[in-house]
Amino acid sequence: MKFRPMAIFEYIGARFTVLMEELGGIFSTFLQSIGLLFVPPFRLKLFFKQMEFIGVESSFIVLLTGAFTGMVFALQTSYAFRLFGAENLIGPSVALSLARELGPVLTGLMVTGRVGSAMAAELGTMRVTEQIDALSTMSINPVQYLITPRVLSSIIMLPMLTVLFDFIGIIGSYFMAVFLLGINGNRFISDTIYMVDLKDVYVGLLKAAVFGAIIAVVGCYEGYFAQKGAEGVGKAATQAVVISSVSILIADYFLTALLF
Amino acid sequence: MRIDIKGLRKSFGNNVVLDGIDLTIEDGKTTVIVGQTGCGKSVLIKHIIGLLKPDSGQIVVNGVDITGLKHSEFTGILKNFGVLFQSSALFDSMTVGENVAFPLQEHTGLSPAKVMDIVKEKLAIVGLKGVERLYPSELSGGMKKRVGLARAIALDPKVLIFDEPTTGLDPVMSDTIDNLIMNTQKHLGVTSIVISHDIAGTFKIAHWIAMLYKGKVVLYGSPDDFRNTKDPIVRQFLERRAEGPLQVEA
Repeated sequence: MKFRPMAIFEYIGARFTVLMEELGGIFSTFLQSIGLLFVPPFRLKLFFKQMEFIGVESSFIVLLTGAFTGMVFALQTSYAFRLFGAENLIGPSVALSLARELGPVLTGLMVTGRVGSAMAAELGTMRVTEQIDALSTMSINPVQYLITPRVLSSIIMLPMLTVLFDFIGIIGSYFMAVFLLGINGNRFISDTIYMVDLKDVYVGLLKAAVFGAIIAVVGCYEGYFAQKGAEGVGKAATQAVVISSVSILIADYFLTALLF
Repeated sequence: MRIDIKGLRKSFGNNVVLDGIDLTIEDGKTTVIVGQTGCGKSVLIKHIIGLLKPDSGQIVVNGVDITGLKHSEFTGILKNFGVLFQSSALFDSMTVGENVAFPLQEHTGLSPAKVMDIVKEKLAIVGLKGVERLYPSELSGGMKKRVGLARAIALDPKVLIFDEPTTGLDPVMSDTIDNLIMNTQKHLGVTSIVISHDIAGTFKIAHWIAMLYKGKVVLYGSPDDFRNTKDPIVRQFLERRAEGPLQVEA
C-alpha cells in the first residue's frame, strides 16, 4: 500500500468533524430541553421522579465518598502542616478544597457513573425498541417528555448533593483532626469559619449545577440517538460516562479560572 | 381518512430508498404494503407519521399536505393516527393498564375512573382481560401486540398503521392478529395501512395491496389483481422463490 501523507490530515479532519457534530448535537439538545421547560404541558410528576432518582437515591454514595474524602484529606494535610506546626490550618484547607473543588467535581463524577450511564441506557433502550417513536406518534414531544425533566432535575439536585458532600466531608475531617490527630475542636471550627468565604461555597455550587447539566444532557443525548440494538445501548452508556467525566474536568478548569 | 402519496423520494446518503412513490390509501379500507426486507416499507410509513421528512414529494391527508406542516399543526393531524409498532413499543416502565391509559391521560381530560373503563373496554376488544397490572416483560409476543393494538385504538383513531403485526408470531397467533385487524377495521370503520411479509395474511385482510420494489410501487391492486398478475417480480415474491428477477441484496 502506498503511503499518503495527506491521509493523516484526512483522518484528523474526519475525527474533528465527528467531535464537532457531537458537541453541536449535545448543545442543541440542551437548548431544546431548556426551551421546552416553558411550554405546557408541565409534567411535575416526572420532575419529582427524576429528582428522587438523581438526588435522593445518590445521597448514600455521595455521603460515603464525602466522608472518606474529608478524612483522607485531613490525614494527608496533617503530615505537611505538622512540619510547620500549622495543624490548625487542616480544617480551613479541607473545607476550602471541598467547597471550591473536590465537592462539586467528585459529586459530579460519582453521579455521572450512577446516573449518566443509567440515563443513556434507559433512553437508548427506548430508542431501539421504538418507544421514543411511539411517543412521537402519540403527539408527545419526546425531548420534552424524556430529556427536559432529567436535565432540570439534575441541575437542581447536583448542588444539593454537593452541599451534602461538603458537609459530611468537613465532619469527616473534624473527626480525623480532633479525635485522631488531637487538634482542638473549637479552634478547628472557628478557623474554618474564619477562612472560608460564602463565595467559596456558592461558586462551588454553581459549578455543581453546570456539572448537573452536563451529566443529564450528555447521558440523554447519547441514549436518545443510540443505534444498532444492544451494542448501541452499551456504547451509549460508555460514551455518556466518558464524555461527561472529561467534560466535567475541562469545564471545572474554565469555571475556576472565570469565577474565582 | 384518505391519504395520497405523490412522488415521494427519500435517500440516506447514496442509498435511494424511496424513488418516487405514488400511492393512494383509500378511506375506510385496508391497504397492505408488501415487498422485500429493506425495500422501504417502514421508511414509507415513517413519512406518513412524520418521523421522517421526504427529500421531495407530498403526503396529502384529507386534502392537507402534511410534509410542509409545522410541528404544532402536524400534531393535530397525528392525533387521528394509531400505530402498532413492529416491536409493539410498549413502555416497559409502565403496566399494561398504564400503557393503554397513557394516550388518554395525555390528550383527554377524562377522570381516572373513566380512563380505567376505556382501558378495560379496549383490552376487551383485543381479547385481553385482567392483565392491567402486568408489566410488558411478563407478556408473550402475541399479547404484547394485542396490548399495542389496544393502546393504538385508545383514542379512537381514524387511521391505524400496523408495522409487520405478525412477524415473529406462530401461525395461529398470526391468524388471531389478522382477525383482530379485520374486526377493528370493520367495527371502527378505520383506514388501515399494514406492512407485511405474510402472504396468506395479506390476501385475507387486504382490500388493496401495493408491492414496493427498488423504491417504487411495482403493482397496486386488489388481492385478485395480485393473484392473476403475470408480473415476474410479483409472482416470484408471492410464490416464495429465491430464483427470479428479485435478488437478495448482498
